[in-house]
Amino acid sequence: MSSTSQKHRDFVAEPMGEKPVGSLAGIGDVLGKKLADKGFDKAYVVLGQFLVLKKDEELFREWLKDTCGANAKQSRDCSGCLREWCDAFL
Amino acid sequence: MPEFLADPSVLTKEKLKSELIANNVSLPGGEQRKDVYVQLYLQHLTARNAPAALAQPDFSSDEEREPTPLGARSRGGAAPGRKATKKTDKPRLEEKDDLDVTELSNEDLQEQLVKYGVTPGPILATTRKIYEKKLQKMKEQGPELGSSTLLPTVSSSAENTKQNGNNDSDQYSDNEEDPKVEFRLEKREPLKAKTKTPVTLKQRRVVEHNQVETTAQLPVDDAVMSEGTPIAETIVASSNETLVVEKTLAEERRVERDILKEMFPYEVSTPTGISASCRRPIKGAAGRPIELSDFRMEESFSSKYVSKYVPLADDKPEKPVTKKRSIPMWIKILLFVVVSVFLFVVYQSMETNQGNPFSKYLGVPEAKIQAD
Repeated sequence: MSSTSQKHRDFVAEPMGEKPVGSLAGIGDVLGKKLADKGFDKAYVVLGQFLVLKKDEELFREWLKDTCGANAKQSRDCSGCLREWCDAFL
Repeated sequence: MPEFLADPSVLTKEKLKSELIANNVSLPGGEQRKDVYVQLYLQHLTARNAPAALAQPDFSSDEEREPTPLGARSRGGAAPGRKATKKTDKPRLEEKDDLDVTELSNEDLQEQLVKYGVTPGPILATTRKIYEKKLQKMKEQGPELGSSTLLPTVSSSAENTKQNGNNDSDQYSDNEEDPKVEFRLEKREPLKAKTKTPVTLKQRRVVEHNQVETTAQLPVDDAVMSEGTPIAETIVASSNETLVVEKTLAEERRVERDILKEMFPYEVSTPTGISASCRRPIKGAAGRPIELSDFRMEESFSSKYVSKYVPLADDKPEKPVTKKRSIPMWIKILLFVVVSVFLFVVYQSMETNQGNPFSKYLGVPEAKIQAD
């Protein structure tokens, strides 16, 4: 097994559909709520932001930090999760 | 270009009139109040000190920009010090219209990012802040690098006057020459050091280190400066490098032998300079018995082993050797047991039915592989 979490593996295993934002790796209850308050209530909205930033993980991490106060690990997990999802399904 | 005053009211009316006339400004007929002349002065003359500020609206096609030049002119008259007094180019570079990145329009922000080689995505409400931060970062890195890619683009951008462009290139070449000079000085110093007769090994080593460092630095720095450096400099650099490299090779060989003799005084000197010493089995490890006779053979080996093992052999020749190791045996066994228990617990946790882990132990690895 790799060093990814179960959440990551679950997310990347299938199309995200209508999954909530809390299903993203690195995004727990607190961060999920903050994102939802800003309008990013579904995982696909966050995916949209990731795509708009041209799938640049660095910029996305920066954005995540500014938007919901994610720390380095959380943002790294989230960006990695989205990147893998895009590699698999986009 | 003569400097025009920031506050023309310090001049007398006569002086104002003469200044205006000297610069072909039409005066109103008859004697006017001083204020009139001051205003004229500000409008026509002081504004000429700030060409860049006026030129900015042409840079972008946004309508938002149009009111600002009018504001700029009046403000430019009131506070031209920014542009008029500072003739240096560094503030001018930073005073492109993005002194405050947050005031840039989306398109301007995009253009600025492209100048730094970044291809930004669409600048939207959510992404704008990130790109502003990125631009800020690039600007900080830009001047440090010497911004060889930036300066030509800046000078070529629409309404900068020729003087600005020339000044940029002058400063740019100044930046180049200083490190150039520094390189040559560094190169010559080690060469000079070499011509002196080296007294000790240590001095030689220090000199060589310097040379190695300078030669290592040169390619790196050359890469940075590569865009603007003239070809002649690189030729000089490469020729100096080859000289330095040749001399280092010759001296290194001499030094090597001396160093080796210092480090290994007890080594057998063979024609090739190599003497293979087979690795001794560590006496007392893995239950090997210690015999004094084994230590007699050590004249040809390094003295380290002798000093380490002779006292051991002398003190306790017959006791079991388990106690005199760096890590005692019982600790090793304990660790092994702990690790095996841990692994066992892991197996257990992965097993869904907790019925009989012992009896199913044989079946566990297979089940684990399937579950993965």
